[in-house]
Amino acid sequence: MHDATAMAGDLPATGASSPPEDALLLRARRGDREAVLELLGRHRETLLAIAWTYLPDREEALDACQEALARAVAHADRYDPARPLGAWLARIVRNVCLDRLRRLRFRRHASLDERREAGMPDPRATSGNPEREVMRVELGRALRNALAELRPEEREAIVLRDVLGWPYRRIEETLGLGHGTVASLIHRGRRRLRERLRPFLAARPGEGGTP
Amino acid sequence: MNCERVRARLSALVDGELPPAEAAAVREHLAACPTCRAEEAELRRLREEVARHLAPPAVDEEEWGEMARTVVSRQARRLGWGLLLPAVLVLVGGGLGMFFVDPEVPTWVRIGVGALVGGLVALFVSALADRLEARRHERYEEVER
Repeated sequence: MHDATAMAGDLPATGASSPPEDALLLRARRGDREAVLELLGRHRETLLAIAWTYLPDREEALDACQEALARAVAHADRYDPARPLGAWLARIVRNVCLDRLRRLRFRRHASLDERREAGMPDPRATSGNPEREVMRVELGRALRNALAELRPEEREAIVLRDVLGWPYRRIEETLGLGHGTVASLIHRGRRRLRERLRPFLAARPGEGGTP
Repeated sequence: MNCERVRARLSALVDGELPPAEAAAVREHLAACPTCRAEEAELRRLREEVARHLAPPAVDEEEWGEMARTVVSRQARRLGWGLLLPAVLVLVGGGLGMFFVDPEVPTWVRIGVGALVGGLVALFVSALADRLEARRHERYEEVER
């Protein structure tokens, strides 16, 4: 029996694992719940990490993951099994998120960042040093703005590396990128982030960072 | 190794992705070059901040399970509509055809039903055209690409 806990998505998505992903996708398309769970178990970490970089709102991000999976299942016939499923799903979730962002901006005239920040300052963090907390919120906003200017591939490689802690090889395998591509995507992406965030990144006395 | 070559490798160094010999050469340069060291420190800080600010929210197993259930039921509905729509088209089309050839139907009923069907078709075609037009401008609407 497939239980979601056992498929927590911690295994490397090598594509060599059984059953093959195209077969799973076709089973999911016929409405097989186990297949959907298995696909979700394998890719949910990637889906959520990517969705969260675009939509910093829990419900919106989860909804985008669900939409992406539903679209992938509905259009399983368009999947090219020669490429990793992770790459296809990443692309779908990215497009779902960009689509939503555009609609949200049109409809609400209020950005998601504002919504998030409205409920954001973490009381535990605020209680210690409000000034530092303001700085942290500012940095968070600046970071998201700077990330939004990167190419999607750069942004996603950085997130999979820094947030999920994946080694370059796994990112390459999951996103179907050539050897060495992730290193240059991350290098270029970080260089641009550093330029944009320099005022925040200079080491501050009394705050961690570098040994 | 000069500063330029070291800087091209700093990102991989902080990620622990440089081959040992190259990492040693970069570290040797860093020990002697405060400018590159400052850049390395910024990169490490940047990594921490990305990890801190972009860590996705926790999602429990129940929520993932619910998501899978929703995807399955959406797919089932999709399959259902796929059968239902052609069936409705065939039945309505056939029914209307029989209705119009039936000599017992009075002319005024025929005209009324004809106008009703014509109106519905016109509305449908116009809504479909709008939808298609909107879709052409909707860059991200597609499943992929």
